[in-house]
Amino acid sequence: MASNLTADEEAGWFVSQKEQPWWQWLLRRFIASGPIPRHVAFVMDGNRRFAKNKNLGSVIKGHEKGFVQLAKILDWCSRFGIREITVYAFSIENFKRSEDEVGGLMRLAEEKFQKLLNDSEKLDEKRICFRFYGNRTLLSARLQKLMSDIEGRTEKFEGGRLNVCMPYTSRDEISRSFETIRTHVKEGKLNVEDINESMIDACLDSGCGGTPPDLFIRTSGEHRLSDFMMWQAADTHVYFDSVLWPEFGYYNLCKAILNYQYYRSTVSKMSSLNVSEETTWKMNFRGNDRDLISVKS
Amino acid sequence: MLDVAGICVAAVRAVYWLVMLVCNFLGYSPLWAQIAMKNRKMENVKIRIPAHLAVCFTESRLIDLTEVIQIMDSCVAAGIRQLSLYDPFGELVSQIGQIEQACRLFTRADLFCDGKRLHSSGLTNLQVNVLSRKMGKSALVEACKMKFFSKRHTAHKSILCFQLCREEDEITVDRVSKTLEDKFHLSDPDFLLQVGNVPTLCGYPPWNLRITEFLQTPRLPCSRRALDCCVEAFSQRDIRVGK
Repeated sequence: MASNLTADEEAGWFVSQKEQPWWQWLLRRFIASGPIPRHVAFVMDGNRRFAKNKNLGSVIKGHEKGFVQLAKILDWCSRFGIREITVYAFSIENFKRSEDEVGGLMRLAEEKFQKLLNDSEKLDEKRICFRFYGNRTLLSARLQKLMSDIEGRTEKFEGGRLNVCMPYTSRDEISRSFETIRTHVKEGKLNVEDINESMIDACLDSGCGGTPPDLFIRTSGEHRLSDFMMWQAADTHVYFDSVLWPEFGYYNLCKAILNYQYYRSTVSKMSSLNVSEETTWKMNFRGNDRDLISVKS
Repeated sequence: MLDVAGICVAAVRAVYWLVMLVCNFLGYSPLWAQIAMKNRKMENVKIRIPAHLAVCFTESRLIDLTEVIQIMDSCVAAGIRQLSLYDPFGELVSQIGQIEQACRLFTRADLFCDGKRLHSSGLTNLQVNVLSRKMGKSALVEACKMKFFSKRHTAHKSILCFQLCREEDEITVDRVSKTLEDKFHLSDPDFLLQVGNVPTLCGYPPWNLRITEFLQTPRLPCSRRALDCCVEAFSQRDIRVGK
């Protein structure tokens, strides 16, 4: 991996807690007087363009910078009181990229996940629950093991939640949830008439304790969802920023939250047009078994 | 004798020079320079007409039947083949009779409402699909149920056997897409206009927004000129599917 790491890069997932600059503190106090989104989803777009613009040499350097920025943003979000963050780390479509880039990204992921597991003290201190969404069967056995270990290690933590989507597409997630329902129907555990939106919510990867995002942010100026959380973000506040992900700073985050606050009541009115369902469902995990349980409203 | 005309010309030139100086200082280009830059930029951009345009109304006050019929005409003129009009407030569905009449009389368009065909023209230039909130997540729920209902609603043994075999097949992305297309006439728009200032998709059929480009616009671009501006914006987008 890269040599001559800065202090930020050495810090890994958890940026060292320092006093915030006075202007960040002031902005935060001002913004936090209004409603803060409970769950923010990020499409971390722009790493490769950043690498090209800054002449970093290879796109992997751009992804490394992107990771460093992610760690900072996680810290800022935590200070704002944002409890859940979902990040689009790797799309199933990204396997179409060059072997060098895909291989580099997988190695970067392995390194960062191993670093997370090794940083036991910080894990226990921060108590962030890590979850991985996506079709893990497409990854190497080593990566799958690392992900399972991280999930097992942080399962009971309630200090916050970070969902890493890798490798993920929303369509793949929805069709796997249909397949889960099909299996339950086949085994006689469910009736077809019981299928509703709540059941599909429960069977998605985010059904394991996740909540729908309040704010969806995409960087780099692209205005599309790119197959990310399409079901969960159907009624969400969608915000696009033209800045590249490694340059998404504190000010950009503040602008996004202010935009959320400005439109919050209007966006909530839109989602209240949904018809409420009689029966809601949740997924119970017992080891490798998953059971759908109904909760009558 | 003072040359009044000359003084006026000199005054106009002086004012123009001052305005240019201020513009340059502040970093603004005067209008003619902006137009010239835009024309130069557009020379290098190939215009791409979206085959399927979707409109999502985020504010009910912006839904106007006359404008909707006008945009249908503009789409025919611009060469857009499919137009989806998503109205989460249900106003377009309540006025579907008038839209159907417009399709019969003025616009050569096939009309669908929530997936059901209402009108078909012989030689059609445009397919219009009026969608309500029922076509959002609810359509996916129905698509999920349809994988099983096929067993119940057929009597013929050979068809039953065939469909039972189908039930054994794993549910895949392609099968879900096909069900939505066949049963609800839902397909992926290339370009979606969010009409209004509210930054949300209002429950637009989520499955179909995989690589759709969004553009937020304060009003429905019903005139040909306004629609052309939107198409220009679409043409400048860099579409990369995962790569």
